[in-house]
Amino acid sequence: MSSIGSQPSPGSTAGDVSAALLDRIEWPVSLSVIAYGVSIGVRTNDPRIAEGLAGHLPPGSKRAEFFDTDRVYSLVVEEDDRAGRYQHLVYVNGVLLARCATLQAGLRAFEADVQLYVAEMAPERVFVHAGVVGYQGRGILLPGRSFAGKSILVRELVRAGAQYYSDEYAVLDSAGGVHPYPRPISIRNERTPGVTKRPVDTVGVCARGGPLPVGLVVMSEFRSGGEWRPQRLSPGRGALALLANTVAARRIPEVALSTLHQVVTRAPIVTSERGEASSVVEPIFELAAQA
Amino acid sequence: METYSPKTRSTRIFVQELPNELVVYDVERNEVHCLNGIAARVWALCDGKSSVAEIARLLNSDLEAQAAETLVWLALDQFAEKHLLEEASPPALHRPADMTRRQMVLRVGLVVGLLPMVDSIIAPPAALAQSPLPGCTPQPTGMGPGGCTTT
Repeated sequence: MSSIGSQPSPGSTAGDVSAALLDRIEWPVSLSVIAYGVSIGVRTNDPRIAEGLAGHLPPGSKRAEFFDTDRVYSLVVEEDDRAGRYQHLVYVNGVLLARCATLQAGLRAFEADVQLYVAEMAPERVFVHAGVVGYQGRGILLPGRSFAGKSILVRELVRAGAQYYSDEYAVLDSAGGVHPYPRPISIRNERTPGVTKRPVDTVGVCARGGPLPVGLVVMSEFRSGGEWRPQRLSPGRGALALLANTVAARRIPEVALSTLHQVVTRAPIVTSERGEASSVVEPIFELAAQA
Repeated sequence: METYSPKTRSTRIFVQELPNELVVYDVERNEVHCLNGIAARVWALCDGKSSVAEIARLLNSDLEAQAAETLVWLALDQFAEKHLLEEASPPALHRPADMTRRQMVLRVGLVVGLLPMVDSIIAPPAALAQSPLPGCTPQPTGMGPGGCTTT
């Protein structure tokens, strides 16, 4: 366990030099938060970062009093002597995670890692890489890795009237209910590198309620010119497909299997390639209504 | 010749029963297998005591005895291939010499059209699905988001 604030940073062998360096830095901003039952510490030497930091924490993060935590992030802004520019360094427990040219990139590196860490370590939830919307009182899960186009599909479903739950993780409880993970929708621009984040309220209604039972699982990947031909998967093959997107599948396989069992025995699972997201909105709603 | 009584693994695995299917998580290899209905039934009968002929009979299929045994051998072949059997000696050493897998598939496939199937995936490490981060450059010693090395 490690502490944030004035305590020495923990360091692995690889991080010893960095850890010693970090211990000499002053940290005008440090905070502890808890998200989905996982505690993390964050500190930075640049007070200007503090303002935007909250937007990069996992949804539902709550400030906590000073406590010990297994994971401390250190966000360091320092001048790069060689180029005369600033560089943005992100450390995890004294080990360098990312060295970024811009503050935005540094915060994204922090955000990606902290969200993944929470998703893997959450004690009472199973996180599946998936977009999620609510429709007629039930959740529609759209599992898929990055670049599968799930954010765009979520956006189109929300624009058509579905309730936004998540564009990154389906957060499942032991009964198979899916909880909101309402971070801003991230949409990649296909023409230029980078990610555009859109506040949820600009594209539709944000989930504010509790968990929904899962009503439909759609395994779908964008392919230019792809045709929508949904095929139903058996519960067992559906469980495999969901497990392939489950963050903590290796850490807690028994819990993951048990949780996914609750989903696949209640909700139909269909698979299909697809073309433009807008072209499959109505078919998905129809499937959900029939389920 | 000693009677072959196959036994499925019971250690370092988690089993989740589903209606007419079975999902098996192999903790040693982080592999996950989905056994279809007939494979799941064979799995349940591989107790280390019953011979292949007895398992075939206990399946209660409408198949004639030889075809039912062929079905069991087909399932065992897949269990062995996926490291789901306890014994060190693979079923291939025990089954009749005239039964290649192709011959078995032809023999049973023509009769029932439904073969024992085991679909498998490798459980993903947590970091697998993370996206590369624009604006960051590789860092040899750092473990980046999603296991990518980034800075």
